[in-house]
Amino acid sequence: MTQPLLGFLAFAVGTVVVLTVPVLAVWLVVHLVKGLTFVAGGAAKGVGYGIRHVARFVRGTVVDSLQFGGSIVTAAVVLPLAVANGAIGRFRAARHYGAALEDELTGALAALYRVGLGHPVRFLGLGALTDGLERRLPDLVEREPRTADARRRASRARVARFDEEPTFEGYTVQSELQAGGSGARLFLATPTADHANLLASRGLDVPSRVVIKAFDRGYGSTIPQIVRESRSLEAAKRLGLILEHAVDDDAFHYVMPFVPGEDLDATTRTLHARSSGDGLDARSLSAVLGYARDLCDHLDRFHGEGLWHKDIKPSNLMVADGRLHVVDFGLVTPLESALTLTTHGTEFFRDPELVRLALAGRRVKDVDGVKFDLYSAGAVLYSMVENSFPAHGSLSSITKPAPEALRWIVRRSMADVDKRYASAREMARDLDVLLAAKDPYTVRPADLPSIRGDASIPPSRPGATTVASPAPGLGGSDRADDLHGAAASDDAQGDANDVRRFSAFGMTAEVHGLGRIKESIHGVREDRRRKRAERTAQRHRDAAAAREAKHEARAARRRKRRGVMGAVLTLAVFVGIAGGAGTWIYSARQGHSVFEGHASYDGHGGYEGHHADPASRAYPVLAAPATPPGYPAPPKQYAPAAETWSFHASVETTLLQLGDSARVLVLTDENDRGATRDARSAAQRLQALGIQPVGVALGPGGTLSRREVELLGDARYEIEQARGSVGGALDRLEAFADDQPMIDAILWLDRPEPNGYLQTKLAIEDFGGIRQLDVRPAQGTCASEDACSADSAWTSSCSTKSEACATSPRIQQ
Amino acid sequence: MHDLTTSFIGRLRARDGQAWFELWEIFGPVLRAQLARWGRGRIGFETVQDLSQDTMVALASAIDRHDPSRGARFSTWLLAIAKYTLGDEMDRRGALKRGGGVKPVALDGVDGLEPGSTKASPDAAYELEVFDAKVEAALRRLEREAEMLDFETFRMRVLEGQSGRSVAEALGTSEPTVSRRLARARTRLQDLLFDVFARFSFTDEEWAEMDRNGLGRVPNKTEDASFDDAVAEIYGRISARRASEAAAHARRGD
Repeated sequence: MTQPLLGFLAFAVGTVVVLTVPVLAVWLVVHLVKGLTFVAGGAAKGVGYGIRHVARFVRGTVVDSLQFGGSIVTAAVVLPLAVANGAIGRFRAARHYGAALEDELTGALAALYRVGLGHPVRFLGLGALTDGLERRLPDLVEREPRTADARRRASRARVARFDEEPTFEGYTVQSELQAGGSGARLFLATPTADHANLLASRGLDVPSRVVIKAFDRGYGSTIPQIVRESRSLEAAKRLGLILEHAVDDDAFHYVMPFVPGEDLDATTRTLHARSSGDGLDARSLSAVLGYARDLCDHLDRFHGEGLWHKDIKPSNLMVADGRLHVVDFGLVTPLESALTLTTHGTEFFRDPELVRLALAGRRVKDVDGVKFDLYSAGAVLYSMVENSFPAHGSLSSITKPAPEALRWIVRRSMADVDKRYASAREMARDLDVLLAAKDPYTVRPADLPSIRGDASIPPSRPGATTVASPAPGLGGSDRADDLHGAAASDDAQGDANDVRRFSAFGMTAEVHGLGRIKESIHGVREDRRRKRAERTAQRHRDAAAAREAKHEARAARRRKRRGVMGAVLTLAVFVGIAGGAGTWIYSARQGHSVFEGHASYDGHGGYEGHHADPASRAYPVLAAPATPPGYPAPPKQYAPAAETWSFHASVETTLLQLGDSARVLVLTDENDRGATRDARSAAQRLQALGIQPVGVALGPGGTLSRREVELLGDARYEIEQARGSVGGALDRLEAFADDQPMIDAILWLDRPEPNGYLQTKLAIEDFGGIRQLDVRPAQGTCASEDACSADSAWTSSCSTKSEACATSPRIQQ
Repeated sequence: MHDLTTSFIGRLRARDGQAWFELWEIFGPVLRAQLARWGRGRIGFETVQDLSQDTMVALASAIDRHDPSRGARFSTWLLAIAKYTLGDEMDRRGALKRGGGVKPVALDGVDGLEPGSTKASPDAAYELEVFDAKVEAALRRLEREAEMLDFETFRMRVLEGQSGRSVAEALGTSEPTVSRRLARARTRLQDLLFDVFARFSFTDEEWAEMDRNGLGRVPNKTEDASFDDAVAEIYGRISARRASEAAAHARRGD
C-alpha cells in the first residue's frame, strides 16, 4: 500500500519538476533578454544623447562665432556713419545709426559670451552655473536707464510737424503721436486738475496721462471714418477703454488712458535678440506664453460683451509692466451687427475666409466673429514664436524651436473655422497647461485640454460616463479609441466592456463598473490638477508682472539719478569715447521706441487706401470680375471726391446707413449733356462714403443684359417724361430691385425744368417696396456754372435758381 | 480638356465670385512674383499689387474669348495676360514721361501677348511656381476638408518629417492610428490634387506634370513614400519662397 503511494508521489513530483523547470527556464531567459534589451536601449539612448549634446555644442559655437563676426563687421560699417552724422549736425540720423551700433555691439558681446563661456559650460553639464548670469545680464542691459530729456525731445519734434496745435477742453496737450490710417490725429495729453476731479467724481479711474484720438474734417477725416469710430464708442466705454468723448459738426474726439511701453512687434524682436538666436530661450518663451494668455483674456472680455475686435495684430498690442494691453478698437464691431461684412483688417493677421465671406456679401451677424479674432490671436502667437508674420496663412511652418504643444495651439487657432477653438477661454486653457509646466517642451499636444476633450468635467448625472468626448472638429473617433478603448462607445457598449474578470482557484469573479469608478476618480484628479495649474499660472503671471513693475520703478529712479551722467556720456560719444556711447545711444533708441509704440494706436484703414494692407485694396477691384452675369460692372475708380460736392444731409445719412460696400445703382438722364458730369460727381461722392456705385455707364457697351437694359430704359424714359415725379417708373425700378438683390438702393440724378437744378432721388428697398426718400437739390450744384461764384457757400434754404447760384460754389469738375 | 476645367471656365465666364476668388487666392502670389521679376526693380511693390489686380480684371474679359481648342497651357494663358497688363503699364509710363507718343516696351516672348497663344516662353521659375501653387491649393483644401487630427498627422509626419513614433507620442495615440490617419489624408490629398490639376490644366502636358512629379495616385507602400517625399519637397520649396517674401516684406518695413 505504501509502495504504490510513494511511487505515485514520486511520479507526481517528477512530473511537476519536469513541467516547472522548463517554464522557469523560459521565464528566466525572457527576463534576461528583457533586461539586456533595457540596458542596450539605455546605452543607445545615452549614446544618442551624447551625440546630440556634442552636435548642439558644435552648432551653437559655429553659429555664434559667425554671428559675432557678422556683428563686428556691421558695427565697423555703422560706427563711421554715426560719428559722421553727429559731426555734421544730423543728430537724428546719428541717433538712428547709434541705435543700430548698440544693437550690433550688444549682439556681438552676447555671441562672444556664449562662445567663450555659455556653450562650453553647458557642454560640461554645468548649465546651472551660468543660468543666473544669462537670465539677469540681458535684463540689466535691456533696462539700462535713459534720460527723460530724450523722450521730451522726440515728442517736441513730433508736435512741430503741424502748424496748429489743437486744444481740448480739460486737457493739456503735451505732444503728438504718430497716427495710423484712420484719418485721425493722436495726442498725448494730461488732464487738468479740475477736469481730473470732475472725471473722478463720475467714478472714473483717472490716469495721469491720456491719449486723445481726434477726427476733424480739416485733418482730412471723412464722415465714414468718423461714423465707423463712433459706432464702437459705447462698447469701448463699457470695456473701460475710453474715458469720454465729444462731438460737433465737423470734429469728433475721444479720450483713452495712455498705455506706456512698446508694441508687441518691438517686444518680440527684443525677446528673440536676447535669446541665443535659434528660437526663444526659456524665459522669453514664458513671456510669450504670458502675453498670449493676456490676449486671450482681453478677447474673452470683448466677446463676452458681444464685440468683435477685428484688428488683432502685434502693432495694436502694447506691452507694459510685463502685461499685454489691447490699445486700438477702431474696427470693433458688435457680433450681432446687421451691417454687411467688410474686408477691413490686416493681411496675414486676418483670416482669408473673412475676405471670401465679405465678397459674398454676408452680414456680420451671419458669421462667427469670435473665430476670426481667434485666428488673429493664433497669427499673433505665431509671430511671437517665429519673429515673422504667417506669410503662408494656416500652412505657415514654424521653423524656430518651439514646444510641440505650442505649435498645436497656433495651428488650432488658425485652422479652418469649424475646427478652430470655439472661444478664447478654450485657447487660454491650453495655454495654461504650458504656463504651468516646468518645461513646456515636455508638454504634448495630447496633454492639452482641447485635445483631451471634456475629461476634466465630472459626470453631470449618476452613471454618466466621464470618458473624454473628442473635441469637436478634431475627428476623434480613433482618438477616443486610442485613449480610452471601448469605453468611448455608447452606454450599452460601455456596460458590456466595463467588466473586469478575476480568476482564482478555478473560480471567476466579474466586477462591473470598475472602469467608470476609475474614470470618475481620474476626472476629479484632472479637475484638481487643472485648477492647480490655473492657480500656478496666475501666480507666475502676477510674479512676472510684479518683477517687471519693480524693474520699471528701479529704472525710473535711475533715470532721474543719471540725467546729468547721460548728458556727459552723450558728449563723450561725440568725442569718440566708446565707453560713453552706450548710454547716449540707448537713450536715443528708447525715445524712438516710444514713438513707435504709439504708432500702433491706429492701424486700420478704409477704402481710401490709407491702410498698410495691400490686399484690402485688392478686393474691391477683385470684386469686379466677381459680378454675377448681367450685373452692371463697377465703374472705374475715380480720383477722391471733391470735399465741396455732397448730397443733401438726409440722403447722406441714409446712404451711410446702408453700410460699407453697399451697392447703389445710379441712373441719369442720358438726354442731358451734363448728366455724365453729374454721374461722375455722384460716383465720386458715393465712393468717398464707402459705397459702391454701379450702372453709371448704361449706354451702348454696358454690361446689363438686354432685358434689364430694356427695363431700365423704359423706367428712365418714364422718369424723364415725369420730370420730377417718379410715378409708374418706381414700379419698374421696384421690379428691377426685386430681381437684383445686390442693389441696395437706386439713385436717380435729374435736372428737371423749369429751373434746371440737379435733383437727387434716392430709393431704397424697404421690405418689399421702394420708398422714395428725398427729392431735393444736391448740395453745391446748379444748372449754370457761369452764374455761380467760386467761394460762396450753399444754403439749403435756396428756392430759386438765382438764389441757389448766388450762394452756391462752382461745380467741381 | 478635362470636364472639371471646362466647368470651372464656365463658372468664371458666369462671373461666379467664388471661382474668381479661388483663382485669385491660388495664383495671385504667382502673378505678383512674376510681375516683380519682370519689373526688374523698375516697378515698386504697390504697383505690382495693382498690376496683379489688373491682370485679374484682364482675365475677366479674356475668359469670354478663351478658345480651349488652341491648346495653350493654363500657365501660358495666365502669363500672356500678365505680360499684356505689364506692357500696358509700361506703355502708359512711357507715354506719361514723353508727354505723348507711346513707345513699345521690349518684352521677351512678345508673340505670346495674345491670350491663348502658344508662343509665349515662360521661364522655368514661373512654371515651377504655377505647379507649386496648384499643390498648395490642394494642401489648403486638404486642411479645410480633412479632420484636424488627420491633417495634423499628415503635417507632422510628411511636411515636418517627424517619425511615426514621435507623432504618435505627441498626439497621444498609437502608431497604427498614425498610419491609418496618414493613409486617409494621403488618399484625400491625391483626390484633391487630381481635382486641382484637372481644373487648372488646359493641355495634356500640364496634366501629366502631376504624375511626372510623383503626385499621381499610387498603388503601393513604396510609392506612398515617394509621394510623401514629393509633397514634402514641394512644401519645403513653397515655405522657402514665402519666407523670402516675408523677409523682403519686413525689409520694406510695411
